[in-house]
Amino acid sequence: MMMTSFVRITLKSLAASVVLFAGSGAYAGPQADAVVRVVTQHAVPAVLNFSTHINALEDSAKSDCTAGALVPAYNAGFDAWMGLQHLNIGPVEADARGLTIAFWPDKKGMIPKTLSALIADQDAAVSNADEFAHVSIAARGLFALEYMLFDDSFNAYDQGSYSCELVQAITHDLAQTADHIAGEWTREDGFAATLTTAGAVDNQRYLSETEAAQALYTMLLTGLENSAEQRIGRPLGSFEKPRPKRAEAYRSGRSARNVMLSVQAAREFVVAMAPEVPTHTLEILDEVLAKLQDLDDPTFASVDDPMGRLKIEIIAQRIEAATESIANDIGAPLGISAGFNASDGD
Amino acid sequence: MTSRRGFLLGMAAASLTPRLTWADAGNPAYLGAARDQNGDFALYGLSAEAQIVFRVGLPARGHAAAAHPTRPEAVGFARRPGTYALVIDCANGQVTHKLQAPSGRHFMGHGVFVQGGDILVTTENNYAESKGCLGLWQRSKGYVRIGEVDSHGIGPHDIRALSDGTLVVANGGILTHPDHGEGRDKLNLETMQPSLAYLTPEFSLQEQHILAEDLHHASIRHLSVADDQVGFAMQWQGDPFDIVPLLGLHKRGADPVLFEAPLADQLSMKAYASSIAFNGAGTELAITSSRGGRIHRFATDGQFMSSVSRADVSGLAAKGDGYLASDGQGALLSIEADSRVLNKTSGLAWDNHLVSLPILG
Repeated sequence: MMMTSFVRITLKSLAASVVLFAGSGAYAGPQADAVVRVVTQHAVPAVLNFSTHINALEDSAKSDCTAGALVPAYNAGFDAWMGLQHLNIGPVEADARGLTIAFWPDKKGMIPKTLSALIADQDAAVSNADEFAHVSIAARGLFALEYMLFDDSFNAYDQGSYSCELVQAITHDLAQTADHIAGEWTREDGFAATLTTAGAVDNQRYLSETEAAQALYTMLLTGLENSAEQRIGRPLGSFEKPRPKRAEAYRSGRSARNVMLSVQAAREFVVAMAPEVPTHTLEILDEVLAKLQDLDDPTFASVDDPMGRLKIEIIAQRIEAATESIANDIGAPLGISAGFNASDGD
Repeated sequence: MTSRRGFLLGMAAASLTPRLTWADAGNPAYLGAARDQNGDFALYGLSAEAQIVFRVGLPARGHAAAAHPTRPEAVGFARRPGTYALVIDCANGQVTHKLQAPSGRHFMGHGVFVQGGDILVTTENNYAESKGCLGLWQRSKGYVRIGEVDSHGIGPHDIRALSDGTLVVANGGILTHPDHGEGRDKLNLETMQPSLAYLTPEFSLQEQHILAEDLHHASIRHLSVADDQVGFAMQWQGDPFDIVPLLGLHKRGADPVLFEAPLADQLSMKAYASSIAFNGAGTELAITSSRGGRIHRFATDGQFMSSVSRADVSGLAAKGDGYLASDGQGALLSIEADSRVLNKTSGLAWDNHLVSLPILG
């Protein structure tokens, strides 16, 4: 398959560039070492895994676009995205790809509106990939696809229908985006090299090893904060007014799974980045994973039940505790912290 | 009160003192505050190409500074809810005066010189009466406080002067009190009503603008002026995932116009603008978001021009046809169609704002 050879080549070129970096003569300090570990052990595998599964989703939609047939590939693709979504820098941040892949929260209900308009107009953008790449991000990506596959007012379409073409256009667009991300991360002068050559004279992106380590560290913390404050915080709402329908990806029943996968990704990230075994952080993250398992509430529907609510709140609190522990296990020994202005504006 | 005799003596002394100018402080084009590797804070003068020309130590983290139009003098404000401001002689590094906010008031971090540099106007929180005010301090009398006037809104933050002496004030709308959360708890989010207020040179209200009700959470914080057009930057107090404008442009006598980037770019700002500046030509303006790690450039007709990514970017000032930006990682960047590092000041974390000096040299 095309994809396999692509992956093999890019891994090889990546290895070459990292070796080049390591052999460049300068002593790589603990920050640079941490960056290399995160890039090779966590980021690049996540990027390639995402590309593989999103390409499989596109293939699956080509052979059978109907909702029932596409669900397994959709879930595998979304799982792969959860391994990458927190790395919202470089190729994921460029051209708003991260937001295009996952437009959430959709506070104004733009996704169903935009999809309905495309379907009502039988908009020709679906038959032209370049044109579709300029459609509103509300009608692209995994959350638009979630409506098409899981929402009763969208998912009853047949092979050959306009909606079928729309689903194929969304998956093709996703695959293109995933390939761009993978290519830009792993090519010889790509983002992996940009991170691992931080501080080099010609590196305008990261002016020091500290900057690269800080950028990754910020992504780690922000990813966990997003799970606590957004993925869990939104459905929690307030005690008087819980908001179960604000849970992420509840239509596909993935709300709790997404938190679990994001915590697993953070765990892998922590293991790669920490200079010593981050025992305390791992204890907390494992506790979060166990609590999510025990919760047995895929969509956080139990936020409107006092007992269920308490359990979900505790999970969010423990995720927040993990961010504090990460400051001790990774931030302090590597001499990095959250942004000076970002964390304390005025 | 100053006696007539004291006043005359002061006049005589002033005429004998050699008149120092910004040239005596190394001709800085910008002022910026930063924290260094040791955790110490200082005010720095920067050349037009972002090289450090002077450093004056500060006792604590500051917010912004007000630069005197001709004399090498800067007033550094303590962070909210600080009650002091320091007048710093940038030629010799001495603190020449300490301004103490009167009881029941604290500084809000910004100020501006008017009346040829003789009057310093400071934004203040009159928390005793839950309203905003402007403190008036007279330089020629040794920075004595000569009075205060209403800012016509709660939480006045940035303040600028137009060419005819009119003042424009960003009333952020947020009520705070030093007894609540170290002066940072927001006590009136439900009812907050930010405004852009214009005051005559005699400090009476000339014109005031309040945004539409559905934007009442858009705290108008920072200002930039070019050709008497006022750019204003906002910080959204609602959900950071709301899609709301963060930048407005206003000309007296008209309604404010609000600018937004395309959806995905707008969301990347995290509903927060840190600083604002027109470019040197006044043909475009930009905002930074330290939370989003972005700089957004717009033409003055509202056309979105570009987005530049830079983690923890905050300070922004005009530089030629583009801008100078500063960040918490020590970088000073030239921003035009693309960004270029002018100076990487190792170990320095540049604070919220960069201040353009009103007159170069």
